[in-house]
Amino acid sequence: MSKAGGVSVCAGGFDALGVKAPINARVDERDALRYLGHRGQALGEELDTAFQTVVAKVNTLQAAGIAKQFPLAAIEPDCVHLEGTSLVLPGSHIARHVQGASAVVLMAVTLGFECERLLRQTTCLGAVQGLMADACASSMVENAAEVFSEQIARVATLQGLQCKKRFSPGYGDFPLSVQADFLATLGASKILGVQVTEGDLMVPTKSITAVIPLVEVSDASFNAVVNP
Amino acid sequence: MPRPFSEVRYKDSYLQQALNGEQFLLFDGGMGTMLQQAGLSGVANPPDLLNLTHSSAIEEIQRAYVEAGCDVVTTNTFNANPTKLEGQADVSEIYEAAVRIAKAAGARYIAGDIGPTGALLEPLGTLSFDEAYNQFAVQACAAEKAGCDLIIIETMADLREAKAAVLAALENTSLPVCVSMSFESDGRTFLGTTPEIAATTLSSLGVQAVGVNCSVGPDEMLETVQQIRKRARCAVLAQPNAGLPKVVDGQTVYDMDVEQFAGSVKCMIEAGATVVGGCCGTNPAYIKALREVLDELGTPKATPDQPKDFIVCSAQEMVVLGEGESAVKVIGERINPTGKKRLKAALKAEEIDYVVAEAISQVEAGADILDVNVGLPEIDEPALLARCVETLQSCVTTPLQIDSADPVAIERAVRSYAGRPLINSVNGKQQNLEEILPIVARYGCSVLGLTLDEGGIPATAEGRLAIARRIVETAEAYGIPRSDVVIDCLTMAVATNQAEAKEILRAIKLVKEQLGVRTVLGVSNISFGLPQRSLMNSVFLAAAFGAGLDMPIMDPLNQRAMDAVRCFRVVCGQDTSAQEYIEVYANAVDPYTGGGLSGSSAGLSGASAQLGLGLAAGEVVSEGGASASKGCPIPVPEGAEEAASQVALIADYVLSGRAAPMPEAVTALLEVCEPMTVINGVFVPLLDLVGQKYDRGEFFLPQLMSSAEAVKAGFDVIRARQESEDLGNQDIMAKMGPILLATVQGDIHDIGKNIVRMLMENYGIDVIDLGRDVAPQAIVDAVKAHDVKLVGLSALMTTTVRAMEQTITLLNEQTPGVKVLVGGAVLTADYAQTIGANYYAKDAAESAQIATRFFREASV
Repeated sequence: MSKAGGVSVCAGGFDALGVKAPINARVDERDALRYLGHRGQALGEELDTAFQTVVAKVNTLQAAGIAKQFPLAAIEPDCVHLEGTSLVLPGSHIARHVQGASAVVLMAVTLGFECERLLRQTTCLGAVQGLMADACASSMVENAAEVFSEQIARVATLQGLQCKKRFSPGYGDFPLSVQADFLATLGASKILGVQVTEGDLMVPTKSITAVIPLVEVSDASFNAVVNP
Repeated sequence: MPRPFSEVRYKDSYLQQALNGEQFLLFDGGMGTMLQQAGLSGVANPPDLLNLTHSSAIEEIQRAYVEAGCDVVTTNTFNANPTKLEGQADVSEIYEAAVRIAKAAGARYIAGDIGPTGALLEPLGTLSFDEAYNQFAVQACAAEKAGCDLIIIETMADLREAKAAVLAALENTSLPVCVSMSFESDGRTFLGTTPEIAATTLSSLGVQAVGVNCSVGPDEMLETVQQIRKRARCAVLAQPNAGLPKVVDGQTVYDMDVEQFAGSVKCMIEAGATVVGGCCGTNPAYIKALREVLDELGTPKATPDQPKDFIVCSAQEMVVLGEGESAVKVIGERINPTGKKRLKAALKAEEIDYVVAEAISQVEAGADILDVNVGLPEIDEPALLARCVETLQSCVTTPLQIDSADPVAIERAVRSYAGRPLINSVNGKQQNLEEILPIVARYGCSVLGLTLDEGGIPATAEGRLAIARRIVETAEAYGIPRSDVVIDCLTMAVATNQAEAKEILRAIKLVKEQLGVRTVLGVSNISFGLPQRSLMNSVFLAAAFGAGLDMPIMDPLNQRAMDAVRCFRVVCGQDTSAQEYIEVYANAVDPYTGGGLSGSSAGLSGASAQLGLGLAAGEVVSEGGASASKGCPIPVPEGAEEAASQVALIADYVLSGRAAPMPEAVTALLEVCEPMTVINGVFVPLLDLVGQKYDRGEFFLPQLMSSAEAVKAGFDVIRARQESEDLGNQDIMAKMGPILLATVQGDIHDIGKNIVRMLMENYGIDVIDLGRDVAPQAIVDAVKAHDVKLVGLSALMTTTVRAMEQTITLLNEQTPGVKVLVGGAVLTADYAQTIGANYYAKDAAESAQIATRFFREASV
């Protein structure tokens, strides 16, 4: 899945990702169907046509992202402190996940408000279309996070660093309540328009935030993926 | 009646001249960068609290700007609203301190700064327009009371929020108001508003300056300023950043030096900006450079006259009929319950999705503007109209025409509309003019005038012209330019008023020539009482175009009317090189040679295919006939033996999830058997079969839902028949329930709950849907109000399961005996029990099964 594009990843390193970067993301049809509970059933012509129409609509959306690198200041058993920001990443799982890393990249990607309108529109046209659009948009924002992570990984490689798997608020005991400060630290509200509701959910809803730990290549044994 | 604005009070004549665009006005520059330099970034959250704790540091920054030569100091109150202050300080306390500081810094004028609330407005977020208005009103009043000389509302991304802020400032203070939005590199705000739309909408509200701040780099901002200047009916403001943002060593910096910046702003001044300043990354050096630029220029050049264009817009889309331009814009008329049973039922049931679907189909068929009329005798029209308009705005970008006879409903709908709507309508009656025109003027709308008055509709063209003239002149007296007025010369039936048809056409011509306004016309009345109405309508429409009609109010799904529109667009030059015409008709079959006329659906078949319109019913039946012979998956019910193939056909439609051909097939089946037989012998067994297939994994969720939708289409036929035949006590469609559904407080996911709702409705359960993010007490209140016995709660997030538990506890306290069914991704059966739920459903299908069982048992 190599869909590089958007920003030049070499010039400026991580700093180049600190301003709004367009991301060439697409709906992954297999993922979207999986979210819909598809287990290999024959779709039938009607449903297949309807699904393809929705895929095409969702693929017109433009994903964007932003990322910033922060050296690790301290890892406590139940939280992580970063250098140069008052943001604290709470939770034992994130603390374990960044073990051995020298820095982290905070990232956010979104399909934007246009996606919200599309989801509303398709829902009004029928529950099936609405559900399919939601699944397609979910798969596209996942793809955006994936593509953006790959860009980050390429920048990391140039600096002799390696990325571990990304870890999002909501995983394990890394709480969603961190979203507001997380987005503020990235300037994501100003740069991507992403906001947080009182219930700590992001709007536009098809948005993803994540922490990517960076390890020295010499410590490549940390390649192993750590899951909570 | 809208509350009148108080007269604007200017501190002195220079400020007045400046905000009239006759003098330059220089604002200060960025605060954030300066706080960073002073080592104060991150010291207080929000930084507005520094006014209380570090007043001398703020004063020092502002003094530096005054010394650099700015006219206006902006108070450090960007975040000083109740939401962002979170109770750490009073709004008034912050503004008082901020103004004191600005005065001490030696400011010539003090602008009370108001930024976005930081919360998203409904329906994207949870803040209502009125709540946003109230927050802004608190800030605006605090700014005035503290001694500000003007108000600046800035960095807005949501046009609706900007409108709430502008209205709050204009209605609650007598200060001059400036407003600016921030645009992204695609030329739009995050929510899709263009500079032209912002300028049109906000300047029509009566602000003193409208403009742009922050956004992209100053060079990219030049085009934005040009676009704003083109549409603003007031002074234009520009406050760019010090270049494009870059991150260097993790810090955001801006890439323009002072000279480049000044040169860039100078270009904006040449493009028409007269109120300038700096935003992110600027410091006193940048402002000093601007002072030199302004001093060198002296006074602004005169603003060229605005083109007299007719404009309506939503927050994302603008419809323009340029001055002197010959073009046709279609106003879609389908959202109007008159004579439409299904829409009436949908409106009564507040089924707004149906209204949105009507909107989408019209947009896809070519509507440029959508008329919205929800006038029904037994509903709360102001509330329903406002709700429809709010929902439509979030789903379609096509501008709306607000259609009501009730001034209260009109005002409520246009007040919170993000954009500039067309009000339908005002007429020549004195009382009507006095009721409607103040609303048009206050909210900066366009208005549609009907040529009728106390004496009815005049029979002659001259009579209609006289009323049109009165409407246009009265509008002007209210400050509404005639370019914002469109006239409807009113169509009468040619069968009963044959002589008048020519007069209508002549009236259009006269009104356009003598008053210089645009015209609209609903044409379908012309054919009343005649056969082949759509044929007559389309010919009259063509004649009206010839007379000068600009905007037909019509059904864009009517192919024949759209044929006339597309043809005339070639004739009048709007469809350049007949591009659209060729695209649509190149492969079309002429209905006269390809099968003849058959009522309103005739049209050109090529066009019909192009637009993806449904096939004629006959074709569908013959196509389905083949698959029906494959054998019927359910036993043919007693009494339907002679229609076995029809049953098989219906079964095929349901299993393949095709709702469109269902009405035809069910209608045919009803010819030979009773509705009860169709329901119990066909629909119920099919739903069971679909359920089994889903349980066995042969179907996945979209298939289950498509099948259920197909069954629903069949149910609708029986329901409609029952209503029209008035079957008295024989209530075969008696519904189970009601069940009350809601996504719990704090949770904005509603797709799962919507699927549950849809399935339950298709199983014949009456559903009361409270929506998403519903407070526990609101659920309890609704349970009491509707005598509900079963409540379905959905929560998708671990964080919101707590709200679910609270809701259940409250229900147990206040409505003992009421049962609760819960579901949602994060729940398990065990956990559901722990939080006190009576039933847990693992998915939507199981929810419907549990509810069906519950109500069946309850009825025994």
